[in-house]
Amino acid sequence: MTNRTEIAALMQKSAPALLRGDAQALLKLEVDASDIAFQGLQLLAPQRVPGAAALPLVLLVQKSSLRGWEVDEERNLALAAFDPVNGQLQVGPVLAAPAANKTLPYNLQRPPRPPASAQRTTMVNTYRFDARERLDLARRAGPLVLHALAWDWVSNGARVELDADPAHRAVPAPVQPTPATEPGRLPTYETTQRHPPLPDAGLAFRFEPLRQGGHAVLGSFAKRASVAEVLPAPLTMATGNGPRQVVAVVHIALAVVALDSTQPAIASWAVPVYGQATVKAGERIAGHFAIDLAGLTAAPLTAGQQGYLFMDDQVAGPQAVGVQSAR
Amino acid sequence: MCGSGDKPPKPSENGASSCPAGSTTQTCPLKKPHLVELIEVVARSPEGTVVGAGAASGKLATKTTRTDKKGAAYKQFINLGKDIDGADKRHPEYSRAVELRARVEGEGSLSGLTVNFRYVLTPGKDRPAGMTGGVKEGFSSDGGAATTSSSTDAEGWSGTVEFHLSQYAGDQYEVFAQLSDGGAEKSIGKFEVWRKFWYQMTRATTHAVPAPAKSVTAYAAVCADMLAATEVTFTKATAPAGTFYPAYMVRKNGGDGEESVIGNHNRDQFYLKFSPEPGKPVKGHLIICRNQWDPAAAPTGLVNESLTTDPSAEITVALGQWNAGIVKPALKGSLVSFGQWTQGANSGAITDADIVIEKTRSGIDRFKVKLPAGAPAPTAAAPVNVKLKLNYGTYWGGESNDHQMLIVYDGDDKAFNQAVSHEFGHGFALTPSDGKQTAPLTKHATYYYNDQGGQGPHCHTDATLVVDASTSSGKRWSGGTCIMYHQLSPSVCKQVFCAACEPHLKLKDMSTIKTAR
Repeated sequence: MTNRTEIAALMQKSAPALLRGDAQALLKLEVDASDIAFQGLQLLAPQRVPGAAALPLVLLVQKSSLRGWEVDEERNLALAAFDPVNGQLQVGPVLAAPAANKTLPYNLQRPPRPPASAQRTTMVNTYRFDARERLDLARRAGPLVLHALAWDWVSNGARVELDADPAHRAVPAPVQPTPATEPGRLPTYETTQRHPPLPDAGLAFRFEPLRQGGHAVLGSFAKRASVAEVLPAPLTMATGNGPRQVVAVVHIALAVVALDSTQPAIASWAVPVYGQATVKAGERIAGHFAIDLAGLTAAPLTAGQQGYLFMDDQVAGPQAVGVQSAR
Repeated sequence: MCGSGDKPPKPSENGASSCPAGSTTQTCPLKKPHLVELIEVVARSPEGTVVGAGAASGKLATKTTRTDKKGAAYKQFINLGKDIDGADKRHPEYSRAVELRARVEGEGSLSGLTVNFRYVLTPGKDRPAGMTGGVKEGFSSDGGAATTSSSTDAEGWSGTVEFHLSQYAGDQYEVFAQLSDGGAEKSIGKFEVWRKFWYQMTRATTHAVPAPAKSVTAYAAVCADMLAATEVTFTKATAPAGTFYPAYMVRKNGGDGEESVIGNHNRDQFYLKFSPEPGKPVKGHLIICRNQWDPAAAPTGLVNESLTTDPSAEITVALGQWNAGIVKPALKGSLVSFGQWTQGANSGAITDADIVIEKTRSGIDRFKVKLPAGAPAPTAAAPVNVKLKLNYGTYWGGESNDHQMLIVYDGDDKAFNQAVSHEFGHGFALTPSDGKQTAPLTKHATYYYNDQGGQGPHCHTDATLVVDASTSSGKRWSGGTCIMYHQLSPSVCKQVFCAACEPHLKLKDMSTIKTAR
């Protein structure tokens, strides 16, 4: 049993009390977790939530005091909600904003760096909150995959079924962004030698600086096709490499997180899977993408930012925005 | 000659007839009814004259004299009710209405003559075009007619005519009256639109705080008198518990001197130090504190530390936010929310008495543990494990809750004045989002909200939009110079309401202090 699974088991054991916000259960979780050599984020969510009811979550954060100073929770702890049906990703702060009638001190500064011994002091925090108070989930229905983020840390994924809405049916999305029709231009869904190797299942990606400035994200993925992703018949699409047959469309979302920010840059894509013949739900499908991130963020990506990709229940990352050689 | 059958001589311009010297017959000179005075009146049972903008009356006793002036214009404080001090002390200079009467003299019946009234406006700076409806001036009501008339009674008095000034600060008015059949016109004024509000300062006797002179000036520039009400002071003996801490508790290297600490743990008791005064209905309560702290809603996370010495080395608690610290005693309740030590099978409780906060601590998020009697002496080879959760506090630069405002004064006069002006500004509904501005003003040109910095509606005049990943837009306004910029910025704030904010503030009636966020 890994340390994370031990923590997960601890939380599952008392899930009803924890999600109810029982103070004794939350304290016991902190005490018990502090004896497990775990550092990271662990998220607990109910499996199903009816109607517009509250969506309670419990997030456990275990870290050294030094890490807590470097990546403080007010500025970094974020909740990501990915809808695998329509590919939408929302991210917002876990901690509630200060009351609007309060002003921060004008001379506020980060506390002085703690001594090195703070690396050995561990801290366990638990946060119980309603996801609906943090994100606009009011009318959302169907599955939702939740992750907590803290710059370069990501929690487990917690899948919640919100009451299904008949209008929220799964249909293949049009490819977005549409591929460039000139050879060698982005976006493209062809594979290149610069792409990460295709995983057996899941997502792999990296950032690559562009010669003209900015960054592209290069990714490869493989998965079992869902009903929502397969096209009833191959669709011909113009690309820089000539016409290609699209047999499925997969939702993938990107979040690029900066230190001291709970508001990452977000992009949602509908990535085509090329093939010759119609695929069936459950069959393995694979694809690639290379997308220019220009316009994604208010400023160019910088080294130190962390990228995460979301697909189905999975998250890939963190992947640091690097400064590798230009493409 | 004024002989019988002669036509009466032609009246002069003032209505008096000219009569040849030495004439002895008939009733001569014949005086045509003419306007002799246009006065301001106040109904104080009995009605009397208000001197200042108008002259004293030849017939009606003077009740009061206006003294508040800006230049030659008399201030009309439109945000206050005339009778806030009682009907017998009715204030003619309060509310948007001024009450006027004209009087006619002359021979024959004075009853039933028509006096016409009109006004001349000198617009205030940046008065918006197209003011209509309730914010506009007029006779008889807010936004009333541009002219009116009134019939005289048997004594030659017109009825009392109300002229309502506009709601736009700085607008000046002169009112004119004339008999309908001509004759000389009389005028009264000028009256200028102003607002008036008060502030009550409440502070520790040991905390010397200057008057907010820059705030007074800033509000005067938008035609609002900001006046001091009676100050209230408190001492450690008269303050609620938890109000005074040695400075080192709340600030690194703060020293031993005790300072006021006000926040959610004791502010309600300070709210009670506000002295409502019927005659000062628009009054803000400036509760001046050296430090504004609130007890955190929940204790710290669980601190897990192995002690190898007793007392321990300094332990840093990751409080999750920059504006937080640990003080002893806790602002509210006990300091230790959960505490235990263990070594092997032995264990015991840790209480407030075992938490040590030294004057020389390297940050206010740090403390030491002195194990209680009965606990083993820890060593590197046999450490003692400690698990702790502490109640802590967060500190702030001020807050407003309608008329109740917590203001931090740390010796920076500019920051203090900006805070005072800023919080009152929110109280007067600055900065309005699009759609919330008072008509006919258009969208506030430099408004922004949380997505570009701060909490609440603010103004970015002279600011630059910089990249900031902490905001939802990825950008934040930096370096604003207006009082309503989101951050207290003593080095760059011009201590004025900028040109974008000014007309919005001038069009507020300021009759209440209601925090806009």
